[in-house]
Amino acid sequence: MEKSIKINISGVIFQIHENAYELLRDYLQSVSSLLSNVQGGGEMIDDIEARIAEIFQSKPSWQTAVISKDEVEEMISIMGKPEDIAGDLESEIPGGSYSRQQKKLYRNKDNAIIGGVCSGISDYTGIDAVWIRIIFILFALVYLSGAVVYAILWIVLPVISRGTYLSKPAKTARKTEKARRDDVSAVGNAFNEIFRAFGKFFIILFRVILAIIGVAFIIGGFTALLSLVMVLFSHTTILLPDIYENSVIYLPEFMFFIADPALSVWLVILISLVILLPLLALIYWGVRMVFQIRVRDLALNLIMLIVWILSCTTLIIIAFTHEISFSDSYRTSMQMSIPVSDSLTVRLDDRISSLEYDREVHLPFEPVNMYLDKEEDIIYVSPEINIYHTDDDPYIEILKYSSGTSRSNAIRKAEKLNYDISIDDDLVKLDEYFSLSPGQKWLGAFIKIRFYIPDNMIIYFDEEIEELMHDDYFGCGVYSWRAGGKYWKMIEGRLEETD
Amino acid sequence: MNVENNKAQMRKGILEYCILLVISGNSCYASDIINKLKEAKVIVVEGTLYPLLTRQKNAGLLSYRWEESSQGPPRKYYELTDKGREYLAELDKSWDELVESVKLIRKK
Repeated sequence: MEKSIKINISGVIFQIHENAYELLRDYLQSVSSLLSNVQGGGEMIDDIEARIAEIFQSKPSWQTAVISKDEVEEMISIMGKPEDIAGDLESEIPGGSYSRQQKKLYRNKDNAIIGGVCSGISDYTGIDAVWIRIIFILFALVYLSGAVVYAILWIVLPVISRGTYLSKPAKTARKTEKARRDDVSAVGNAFNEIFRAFGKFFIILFRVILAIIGVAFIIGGFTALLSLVMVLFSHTTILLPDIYENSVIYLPEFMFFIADPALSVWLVILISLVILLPLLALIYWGVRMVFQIRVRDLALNLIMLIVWILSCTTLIIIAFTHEISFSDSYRTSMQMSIPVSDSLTVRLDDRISSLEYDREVHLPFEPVNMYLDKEEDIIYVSPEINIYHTDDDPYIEILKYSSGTSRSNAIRKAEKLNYDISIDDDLVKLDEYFSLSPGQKWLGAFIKIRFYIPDNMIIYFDEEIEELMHDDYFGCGVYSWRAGGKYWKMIEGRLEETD
Repeated sequence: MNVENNKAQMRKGILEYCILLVISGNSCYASDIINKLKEAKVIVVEGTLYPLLTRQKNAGLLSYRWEESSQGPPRKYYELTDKGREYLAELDKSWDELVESVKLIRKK
């Protein structure tokens, strides 16, 4: 079976055999190279292409059949050879009274080594491209000015290439190029070869780099996508089976804690869009870069971009109108003094296990465990305790944190956090949780309890208190996992185990 | 001297006149013009038409408008401008004169 190619002539799609394609391509290139220097040449070429499309369309079976080489030859015999078409113009070009005046500077892609800037200038000035290339390279040695000018011209100048009309990667500009190259002097020829080799090298290098970046995009995109999907939407994960079981957050679950149930669905959708779309785009672009796919996807890209921007905006609007904001964080501090005595015992009072909660969430990377009682619409969060050394009398500092839409809003929310702590002589009783006011959603609310203990005081933490030591490091030289169920004596700022 | 060459020269000489004549009848698009000219056997290959059309357009003798087509891309419909009509009238006159001249010479 012969290979066939899909091409676009003047807006009509044709299926064409490869050898027929090459013939057609060479034909169009020689026609355009003859006409492109004439005023209105571009228009003529467009008209001729429109007519060629018409000739192919006049075949009864053009929609199903593949255009053969014979049919292209037949078309050429109808249209005439390039010399015939341009024959009438030949007499005009040398005199060039008007055709020269309106000539435009463009990039000539057909003769290009990198971007076609030099060959474009060559077409414009009539100076051989070799000399222009040499000038550019010489100037590139001077603080890269040549390269900069080249880059600017590359961007600014319009491109002319007959090759673009046929949507196949430019492999064959060879014939016309050869014909042109024969005119060039032997020196120029050698230079051209060198330039071409350099150009090829850079293009290959560029493609390799592109492919590497593409692969990185794909791998990065996929990994991020996979982990996010797992982290955000599934309870159990494939990659991280048990280790992180408690720290994996399930996004829809988390939403119950920060927003109304009705709203949380939308939040999940919007957040997914905001996060996943760029990742999908990353993968998509990676695939495109690796396989060098050229498709017209401007519309798709635009739609995706618009969807993404809309999602972001909606999310922000929702966040503001529903006071879901972590933007302004603030803390309030309160101190409770402990009666001065030799020793202190710290026990757990109300426990989470005695609560009737329906949902729970453990934030990854943050020592926040949250529990939701749906019926009462109350959120419970477990606080964190640490120990510090003081030179004064012992005391407990309670730090209440909250975020809000503004500083005052955050302070108000922090003050509303409800935590019970009772000090009865040398016994301190702590709850395992603090609660938010009913209906209040969680906005970074957190409580830290700090024990400030002077030297020579003995302190005992009940084993259960370890539940509140979220930090690995408890303080004053003690790690959390061995802090509970032991008597500790503060000696020169460090806790020493004692009987 | 080559008779084919001479014939081609003669045809070429009247080609622009013929194009203006075809367009003067009705506004038409490239294929219409081509068909008429082929029928009259004044052109052999179609490609030659385009440079001429472009030149006449640039000289202000023709103008065109785009029209949607049921099959394929939109088409250019050419028509004569006022200047084109004057130009054509000149050529008409000149042609008549030429024919008269030839007739006169032939009679002798």
